[in-house]
Amino acid sequence: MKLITAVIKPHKWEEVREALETFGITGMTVTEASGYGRQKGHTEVYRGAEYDVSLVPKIRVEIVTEDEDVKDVVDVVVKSASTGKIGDGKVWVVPVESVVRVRTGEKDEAAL
Amino acid sequence: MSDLPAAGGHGFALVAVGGYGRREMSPFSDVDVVLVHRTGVPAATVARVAEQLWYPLWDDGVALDHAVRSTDEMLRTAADDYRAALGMLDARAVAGEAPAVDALRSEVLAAWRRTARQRLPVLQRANHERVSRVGWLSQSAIMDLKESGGGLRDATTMRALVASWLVDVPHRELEALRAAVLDVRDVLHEVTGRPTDRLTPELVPDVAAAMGFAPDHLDLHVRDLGRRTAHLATTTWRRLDAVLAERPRTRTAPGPRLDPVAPGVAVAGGEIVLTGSPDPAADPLVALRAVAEAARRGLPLSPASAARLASVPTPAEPWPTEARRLLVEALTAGPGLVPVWEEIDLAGLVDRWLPEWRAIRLRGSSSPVHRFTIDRHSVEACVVAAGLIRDVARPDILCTAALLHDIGKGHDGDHSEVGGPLAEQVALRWGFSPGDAATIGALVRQHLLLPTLATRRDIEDPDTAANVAERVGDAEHLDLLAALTESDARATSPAAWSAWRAGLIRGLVTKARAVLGDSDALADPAYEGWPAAVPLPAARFTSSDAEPFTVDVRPHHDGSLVQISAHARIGLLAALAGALSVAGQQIRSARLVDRDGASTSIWEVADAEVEPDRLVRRIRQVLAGELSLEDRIGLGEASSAVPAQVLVHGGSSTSATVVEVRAQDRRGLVWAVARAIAEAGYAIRSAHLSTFGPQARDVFYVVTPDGSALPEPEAAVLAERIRALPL
Repeated sequence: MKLITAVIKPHKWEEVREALETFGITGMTVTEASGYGRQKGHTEVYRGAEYDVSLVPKIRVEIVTEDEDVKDVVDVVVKSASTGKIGDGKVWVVPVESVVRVRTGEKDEAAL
Repeated sequence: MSDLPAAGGHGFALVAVGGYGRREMSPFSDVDVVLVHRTGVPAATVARVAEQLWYPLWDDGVALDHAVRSTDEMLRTAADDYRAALGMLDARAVAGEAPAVDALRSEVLAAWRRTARQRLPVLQRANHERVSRVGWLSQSAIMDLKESGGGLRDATTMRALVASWLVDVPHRELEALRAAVLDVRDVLHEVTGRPTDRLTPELVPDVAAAMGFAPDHLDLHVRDLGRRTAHLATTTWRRLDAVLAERPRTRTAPGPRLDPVAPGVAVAGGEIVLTGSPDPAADPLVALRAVAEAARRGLPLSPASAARLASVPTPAEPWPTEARRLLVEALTAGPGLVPVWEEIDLAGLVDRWLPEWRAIRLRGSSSPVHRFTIDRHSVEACVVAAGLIRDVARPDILCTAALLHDIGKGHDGDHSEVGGPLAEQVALRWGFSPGDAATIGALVRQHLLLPTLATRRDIEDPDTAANVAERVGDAEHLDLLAALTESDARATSPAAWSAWRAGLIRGLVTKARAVLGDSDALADPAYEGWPAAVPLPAARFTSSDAEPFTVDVRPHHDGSLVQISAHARIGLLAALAGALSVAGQQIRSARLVDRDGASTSIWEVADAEVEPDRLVRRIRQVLAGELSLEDRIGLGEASSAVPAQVLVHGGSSTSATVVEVRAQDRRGLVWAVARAIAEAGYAIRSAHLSTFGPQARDVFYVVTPDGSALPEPEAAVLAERIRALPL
């Protein structure tokens, strides 16, 4: 099992959710986040001082999925979240040791 | 720019600012640029041009530091933010309409000059704040080539000062220093593959190799650059302060006033100057007078006078009384000594008065606790000593010993042993009597005696104080040594003279003084590791606990004192040491005494806020056998490639065997050693633990079950047993 984390632009969230639903992912955790990358949070026409760094609002989506689906899920997220402009975000994958469904106690794949 | 049709006719230019503008980029530096356009260009056009410019650069992985501004906005930003103004002083067009950029730069410069009197003090304050935060390039363990005092930012700041037309700076020297630091930074970027300005000690060998230097030489080279740049900056700011403070001269105002203060020396304009009569080149005392006056009054030497000092003769050896008196006056002057010593060292005068200084000049200390390089540390020790002269009969001997106490570093061997004879030689050269010179040499040789014994021996053991008394010989010498010890420690770092350490050293000095006054004062044949002043508490256990014990915590110096009473048993000290470790306590010392089947121990720990409940829980778990110390803090495999050292100090005590263990500091160490000693059938009367960076130096006073020192062969066997542990 793997944890897929995606940091994306807030206004692309609906598109990403719909695309994931179409793929068959029905559960995820969504949090509001802030961040910046190489461009220090500056837009293409930033007018401020060069050395200032800005935190830009983002959405973080976290999905636990089975290993076989990882590549496809990442593709789906990347395609639906992309605008081609700076600030589109990143997606990364880490291994998950175990998962438990709180209501039933089901474990691992049965909990997904 | 000509490839971008959208850009035509709107005055677009790509302007290099900051380091890019100054042409001082290193391999991984950010590219600082501003896309400038004429005021009034539609936003959509600007956005289109900007995107067409930036995306290819971002996609190529260029580290771009970008902004987009109209010409009006450029001027406004420069006016509002002095850092932006500094960045624009060297602005140049790298693409687009260059003449417009030149005009812009001229306007920025003109505005800078117009407003310099208001803005430069802001810049000066920001500089102070930065340097007090980051430190000085010449003095820091981690050399930040850009942000430290004497680094690239200071060099850039000076160019800005020059651009203000209020002061001038020696251009060639400044540019040479700047270029030399940039050379090092270039190699640093290449070696690390990243845009870093910090030359850490780990990187020095690789950078040195790439530049064809020995690592020591690179270290010295960078610190020297930092020191010279810092000196230029200090002098320039001082000149600026004078300019800003000047009142407009009237035509009748006289030239600068010369206030004579000593033959050949005067004060003029807040600086010490050489008057020329007597001629400093003919009379070696003039230079000494100038230095003494400067140190005493806390005034700088005028740069011209400092330069002249480079060529004055030294006094004939041995120095005449007056020469020595003047030098001592400077050394006992206090904080004023620091800038003066820096001046005369840069001028080359220290080399002539004290050639031995060369070995310690700008040398970093091997210990991580030092704030300063060894030379600066020695001067600082002198300054602290100047505040302690009331405590000694001979301030001249104290301050001279303080200046020379580390003179043996930079040579092979123990720096105290090497330094002693060196210091004596120097003192003789400076005209001290043979007796005084011998005292100075002895002080230098002994300058680590008190801190070593205080932290690594039981100060309550009468033998410890007796050892000190024997080494120093008389009360006057003891006073000098005590003052020298305090000076060295306070000039090292606050931790070196913490309340705890100072308490131990003062305690030891008091006891040694008592022995010197009356050699039987402390004799106690029944001493068994418990200080006479601390009454033994009566054991009061409740019978309900299987393993009853009591814990009492109270504040002690900058840490806490934990007193634990429990049923006496083999290995109790080890178990309690383990419990304290698991409870997160850093133990400094421990004493344990058994009386009527009950064991009482007092523990000095470093934490000022101990949670008694957590401690009680852990102790209960350990005593009841519910917590396996082997599992929680067991040593496992040896953690360091360097093997541990186990030493038996034969002469340190007559009532116990003193065993010192030097090993990699880690949590289970004390417990493991204490357990090994208990398993060998011996008891630990007291333990004195200290760390020195990553190394632990733990001293145990070990006794046989009947309370006496171990016979030599048994002590050797015990040492072997401890050596066999995976330390």
